Amino acid sequence: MQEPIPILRQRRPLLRFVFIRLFYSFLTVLAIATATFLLMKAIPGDPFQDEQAIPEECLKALRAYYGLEDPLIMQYFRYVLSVITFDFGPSLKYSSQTVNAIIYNGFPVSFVLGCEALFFAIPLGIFVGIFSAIYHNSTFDKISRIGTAITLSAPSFLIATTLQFFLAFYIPIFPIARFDTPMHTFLPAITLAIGPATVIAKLLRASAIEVLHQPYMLTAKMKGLSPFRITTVHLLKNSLLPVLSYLGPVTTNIFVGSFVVERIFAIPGLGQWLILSVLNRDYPVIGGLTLFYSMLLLAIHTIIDIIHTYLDPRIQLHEHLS
Amino acid sequence: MRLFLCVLSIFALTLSCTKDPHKATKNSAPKATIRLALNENFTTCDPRRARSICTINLIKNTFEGLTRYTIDGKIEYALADDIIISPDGKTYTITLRPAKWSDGKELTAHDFEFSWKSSLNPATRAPNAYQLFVIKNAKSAYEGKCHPDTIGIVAIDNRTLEITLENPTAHFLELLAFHPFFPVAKHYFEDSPLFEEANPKEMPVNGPFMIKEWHPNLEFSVIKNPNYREALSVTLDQVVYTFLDDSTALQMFEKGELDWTGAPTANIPIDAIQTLRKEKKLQSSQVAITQFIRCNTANPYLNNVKLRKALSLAFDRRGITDHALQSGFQPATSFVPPSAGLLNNSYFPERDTAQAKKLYQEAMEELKITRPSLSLIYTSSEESNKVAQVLQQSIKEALNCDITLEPLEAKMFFERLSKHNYTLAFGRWSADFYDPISFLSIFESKNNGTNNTDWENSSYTALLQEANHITNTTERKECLEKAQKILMNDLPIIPLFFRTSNYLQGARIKNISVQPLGIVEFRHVKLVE
Repeated sequence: MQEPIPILRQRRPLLRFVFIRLFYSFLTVLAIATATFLLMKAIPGDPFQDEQAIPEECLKALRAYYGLEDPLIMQYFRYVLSVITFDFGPSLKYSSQTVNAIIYNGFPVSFVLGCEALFFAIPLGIFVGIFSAIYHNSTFDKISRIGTAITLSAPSFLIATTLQFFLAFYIPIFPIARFDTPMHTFLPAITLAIGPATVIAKLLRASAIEVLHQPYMLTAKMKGLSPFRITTVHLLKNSLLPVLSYLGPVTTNIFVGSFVVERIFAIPGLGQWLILSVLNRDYPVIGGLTLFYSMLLLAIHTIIDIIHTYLDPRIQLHEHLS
Repeated sequence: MRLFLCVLSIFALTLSCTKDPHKATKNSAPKATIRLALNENFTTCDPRRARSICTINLIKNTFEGLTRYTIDGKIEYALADDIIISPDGKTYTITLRPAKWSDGKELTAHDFEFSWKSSLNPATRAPNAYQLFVIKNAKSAYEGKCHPDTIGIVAIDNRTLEITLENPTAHFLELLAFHPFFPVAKHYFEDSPLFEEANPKEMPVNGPFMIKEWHPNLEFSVIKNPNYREALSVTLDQVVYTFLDDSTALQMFEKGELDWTGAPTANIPIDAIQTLRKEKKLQSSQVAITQFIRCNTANPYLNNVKLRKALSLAFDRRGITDHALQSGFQPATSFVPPSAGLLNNSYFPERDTAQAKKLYQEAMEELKITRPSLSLIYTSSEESNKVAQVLQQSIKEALNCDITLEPLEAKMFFERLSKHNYTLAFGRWSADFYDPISFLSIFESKNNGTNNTDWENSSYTALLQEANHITNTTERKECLEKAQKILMNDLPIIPLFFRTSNYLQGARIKNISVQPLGIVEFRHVKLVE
């Protein structure tokens, strides 16, 4: 006789999956927190040092105020507690700003820009990838392959400044910088979208060419299905899996923000904070933003895994846990 | 189709969230508003904690001290109505003008006493507290050796402040214009812990402007302070500092979206300076900032003064200023900039390769080596990279000596500098107040934390201390010149060039300039539409 299946596993596989993922994510976050703490302490450089020295007493007071004089183990436990409570205290350099306020103010900006960038990148990448595959070795395919090679090679600051010069300064279609109105978001969103769109197009092209050679594609054609239905239901759905795997980390990167894009277009997102905190050795901000990034990445990976199972019924949720 | 409409509506909803709730709309901005570019966040609104030139610019527009600088760099009384100096030059009795804080409360002498004494408590974390050590018992109290009540700052009554100095200090009136000597509101701070940072929008100020918006990495703004004692003479309503990349700021200025870019709160991209100068758009002001090379005199090679002199004479200063940077900087053959008022501003030629070779040969013979192992550390930036390459090239040409270039991240650079783990290092010093002692005092002792060259000279130190006691301006300048002569003779630091402030000023702004200390004050500004 077959063993009875536990209730949760029987009726709510998704719920079970989410709970177990949460538990593993918590352990992962703690491991990342430990690694971050060790790296922060390992990198040379003092957050309070400058060309003009400050009095020794002031330096001691500063270090004592931020707990940097305490034994390392105490600093570590204090950091772990701040991770659990998600309260990292004030920035070392900008002491009127707390880390939570930095995330609260910066993340929505980076998120909005990231959503817009994905809105451009995903359809564009899918369109170019699918049609390059369907008409592979055609003129369209050749042009798109040259285009993707160029856009993959060009650094983001070059793309950003080129777009800014031609579409905002030379021909003033868009504003030059800042984040005031929807029109201000187009150029930075396009800059952020170009890289991911290129990679999506390349991945999709390779995957779609493989799917096109599958026997069921010929069957679908012989059945008399319309080209639109063949492309969307059979070709696209079966080609998207590699793209989904790529979307996880790239979505997180886009949502957290790009230092270069934010700097050039004066976007008050999280990307600038992330880089500047390392340059300034601003430990609370480094710790807070790294953990936030990790949590975001883990959450997005969980969502991507769930979407995987809907796209490909052969993949079961419990397989993602093993 | 339904999926497409759903995605489109989500997109539209997302875009509608782009309006920054903190930003004042164009329609609600006051009429007399100017917009400036800012490439570095303000770190604090508290004058006791300000350190960078960028933040000091904000402080100078939101606070006012007992004295201040005029538009042409002279000292005048500000909050001080009258200053009586005792015959021995140690006691200053200052009568204050009637003035208010931005919250309407009266500004009194007790605010000054509170502010300076709190700066002298290490818990306040005031990095410039050492500037107050000219006051009697200030240093001892700071080090915990005596009670704060013995510090020579006493508020006799609401309008009278008595300051007792350790020694007569000829430049004390200049010091009073310096931000560590600004008052903070006692009624706002006295019940808070000393270490707590003030809320920028709530903290009372006494200057021409007060803080309205404080958004790091986005925008800061100040509006006119109606309770400023000279509010009627301030015509500007608002100053907005927008956080921008230097190239983006230049583009926005050329499109008319900014009224000011460049010094002191941003930079003009180096490659654009020459074109802007040709188009007669660029403005320049002399500022009291010297760029130099630090020599680690504890290094066995650089311990030799002939080698240091040889390097100094071999450096191509004109090549840096006129070709590499083209920013209007001037080659430096002294440490104190000419604008600081000393008579002798040239202690050696800009470049003399023949003499450099001769001194180099002598140094090699004394050291019994054929070639020294030298490296130059600096903070990596567009400007520093160019300067370093010119220096490396000029030494190679003149002396056939190799210098290894080590561009470093800022914190790494300061770490190596403070540990004296270098041979040659870039350095830059800007005057805190408009007096040569502001430059010369950084080498007064080798352990003062800023020197970092391991060089010390008892005659030099004695001359600086003597200058502090001299009240006659001419005699004092002669004393300081003797001190500078010793410094330039020993060359623990090799001056390279004096900086200039380059900026772009919008056509509608009048009555403004970058002061020699690198400060831009907006209280005089008039707007022409």
